[in-house]
Amino acid sequence: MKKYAGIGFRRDIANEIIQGEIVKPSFIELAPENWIDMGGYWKKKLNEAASIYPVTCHGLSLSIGSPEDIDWEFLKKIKNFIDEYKVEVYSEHLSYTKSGNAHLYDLLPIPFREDALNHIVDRIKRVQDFLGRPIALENVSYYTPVAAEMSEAEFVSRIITESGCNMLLDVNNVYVNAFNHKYDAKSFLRKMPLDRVAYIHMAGHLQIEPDLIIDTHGEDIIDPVYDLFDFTTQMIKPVPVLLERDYNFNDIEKLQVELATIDRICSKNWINQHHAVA
Amino acid sequence: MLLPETRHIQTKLGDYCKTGILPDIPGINKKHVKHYRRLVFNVVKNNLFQAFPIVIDVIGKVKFVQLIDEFFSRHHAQTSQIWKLPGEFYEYAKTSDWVEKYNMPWLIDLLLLEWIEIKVHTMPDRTAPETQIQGDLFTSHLVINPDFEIIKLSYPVHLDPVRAAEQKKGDYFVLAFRNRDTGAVRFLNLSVLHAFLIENMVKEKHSLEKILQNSIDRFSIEDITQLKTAIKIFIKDLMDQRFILGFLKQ
Ligand SMILES: [Fe+2]
Repeated sequence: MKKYAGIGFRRDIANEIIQGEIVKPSFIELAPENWIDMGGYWKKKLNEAASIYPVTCHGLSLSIGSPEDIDWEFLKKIKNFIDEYKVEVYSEHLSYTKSGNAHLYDLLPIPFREDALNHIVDRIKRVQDFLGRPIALENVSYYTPVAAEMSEAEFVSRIITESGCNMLLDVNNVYVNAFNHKYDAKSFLRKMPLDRVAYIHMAGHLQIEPDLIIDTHGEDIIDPVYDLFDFTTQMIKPVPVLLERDYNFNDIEKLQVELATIDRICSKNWINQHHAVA
Repeated sequence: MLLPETRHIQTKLGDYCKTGILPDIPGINKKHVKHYRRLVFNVVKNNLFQAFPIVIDVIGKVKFVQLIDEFFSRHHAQTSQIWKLPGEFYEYAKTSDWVEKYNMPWLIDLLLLEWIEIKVHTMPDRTAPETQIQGDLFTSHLVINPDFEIIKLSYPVHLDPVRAAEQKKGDYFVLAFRNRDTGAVRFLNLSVLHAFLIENMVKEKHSLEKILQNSIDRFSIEDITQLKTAIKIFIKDLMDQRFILGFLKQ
């Protein structure tokens, strides 16, 4: 069976990933911010893992939706990192993490407005020019609308289309947002520029209030999210799929079960299609 | 292209995550927006809790969270790499009034000690010249492990619990270095003379003999033979601990 599913290279499971006996991903994803400028023990571990697996990068600090200027100096470091590790996909979040000249280290929701949209489209183009490659932007989970003047679907899909960037489609985030903001996940998916999807995220979440789900990356993937993934993969070309898990690593075998489930669905839907990346 | 109004709204949400004071933002869900403050603050809190376990042991979690709250609401975090944030916390602490306000004279030293462990553990690898086993301790060129820092403390928080350290104000030097094979960080207490020797071995790239000559003048040392014996023990110990990697390859 062809393998599509990769896993985040987290320190808690670094050795298991390097050993490749219990968890057997087809690639690893890392946040460049967590590894740039780093030497010593963890640099060795990273190099070990990168010598075994293809690497994709999922950035944290680009803050593409921020009112602040882009940190070009840091982006230069990202560029070098991407080159050093021969990274095939560099993705980021359609959100902002920097505001008032301060990093906030989490993903804040952008107002779905025309001026924000234009601002972001322009920034994506400049970032892609600078890097000399397309980036993939992810639809993020959000817990409140902020001064919205259009729908999330219009905002996301127009940004991807008008900027010419790729899309990182997080299927769990679609599920979470559909629940939190009371819309239909499948009709949202149909409105996305699915021909631009270059990468997929799958993850678990946690319902913490009757009307709120938080995208935690700490739980198992639930069946309705697998169903949505099945639905999605029938409509797109083969791409790498990442299992996002940031903590709760007490049962590593279960992670392999999730990777295998993802692979099974991909294989079923992409049986005669050529695997495009990684 | 971004309208001032949108910029203002975005900044308000960002400020809320920093301070926890909820402003009026159009169209938000007031109940759910609270999770952003919670999530942002938890990320920062978890990072600093991991970085400063000894400080937390001494002052307690409640007080430490209070310090984090002040730091995060007033400081503009500049690093895009959160694992470097403890360094900004330490720098902020130096400019804060915490030492006087809470009567913790050793606080800055203890924060520095814990931050240096992270810094040395993670700092980029530096290259060291090739070494050989044969050489003379005093006349050959010794190669030093370049992944190190020497810090100066006013209280010996690396030797004693803070309550005892508080009584021993003085000049203390600590060497923190990273083992090149395991990546583990070791701390060594240094005398002023030892700190001077190491700094000069790095800076001047002279043999120990020559550096000793300089230190004799500087520290007005009279008994050179005794000094040499003591230094020999010190250098051999540094070799055993893999801080001195060997003799420069000829
Ligand atoms: Fe994601």
